[in-house]
Amino acid sequence: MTADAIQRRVRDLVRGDDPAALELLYEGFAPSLLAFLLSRLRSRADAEDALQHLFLDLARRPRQLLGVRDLEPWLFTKARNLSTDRLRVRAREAARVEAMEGGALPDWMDLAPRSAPATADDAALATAVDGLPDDQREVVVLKAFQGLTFAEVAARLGVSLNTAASRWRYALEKLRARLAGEARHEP
Amino acid sequence: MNPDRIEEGLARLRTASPSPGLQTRILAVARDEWTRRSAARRAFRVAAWRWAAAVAAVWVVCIGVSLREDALTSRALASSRPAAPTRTDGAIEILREAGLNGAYARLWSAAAPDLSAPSSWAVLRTGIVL
Repeated sequence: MTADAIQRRVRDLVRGDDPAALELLYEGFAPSLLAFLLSRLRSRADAEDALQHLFLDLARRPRQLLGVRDLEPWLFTKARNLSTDRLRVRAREAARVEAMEGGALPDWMDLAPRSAPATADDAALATAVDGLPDDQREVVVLKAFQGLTFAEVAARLGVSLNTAASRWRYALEKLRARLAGEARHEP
Repeated sequence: MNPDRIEEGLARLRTASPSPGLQTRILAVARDEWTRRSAARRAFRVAAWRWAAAVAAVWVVCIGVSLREDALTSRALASSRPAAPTRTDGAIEILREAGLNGAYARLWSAAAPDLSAPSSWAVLRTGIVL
């Protein structure tokens, strides 16, 4: 079902005060919202909490969905605001970053199932992705992890196509620089 | 890692899988909240309608009482007001002052309203014969 079709169906369900709208929203958008929240919060627990918070908010005020023109970017904006609030109050960031410096895969990332067990290279790349600025990390997650096109990434993030492509390019440059630097420091 | 193979490396990564039962948990909590809020909204609407109905009923009663009060007051005023003097009263008074007794006064006063009418003359004539 396309995003437009989901939106139309959700509106009908909300008008009928039917909580099945939540299931439809979850099936349609939760996987990419969760990926987005993971890229922003870099913590699985926080991202899942934020996703639950988002759905609770939708359940508390379902009629807000009736006034939305484009549901998908709107949900991503809500997710972004929620994650920003969470980042503001989160004080354990420094300790978490320190904990990751042992070369382990950051907990908000996995290796694709078909891949071999995590190698030191994968861990280094994951750590480098984790260290990207927020806006570039979001694009990397949506483009590389979720397999979205630049147009889809731009629509979800509410930015232009060029901005999405630039962020991707800057992210790759940063990753290259960081990994090249690490390679030089290796004995 | 070879920096030239970053895109290849990124393809092996993905965001962490959701915890087991995440969908069930989120949907259960959200569904409960939706049901609770719906019930609260319905209860509020019912309470608001009842309140509005009670206020409307009080208004109707007040307006009814007010109208009845108005009607009673008007009726009471109308019954307590002295009747306006008629032409007959004036004639009787004048005739009395002229020394005619009550019977003559009544007679003349009956004729007085319209002396040109034959019936008035008939009344007068009858009175004189008496």
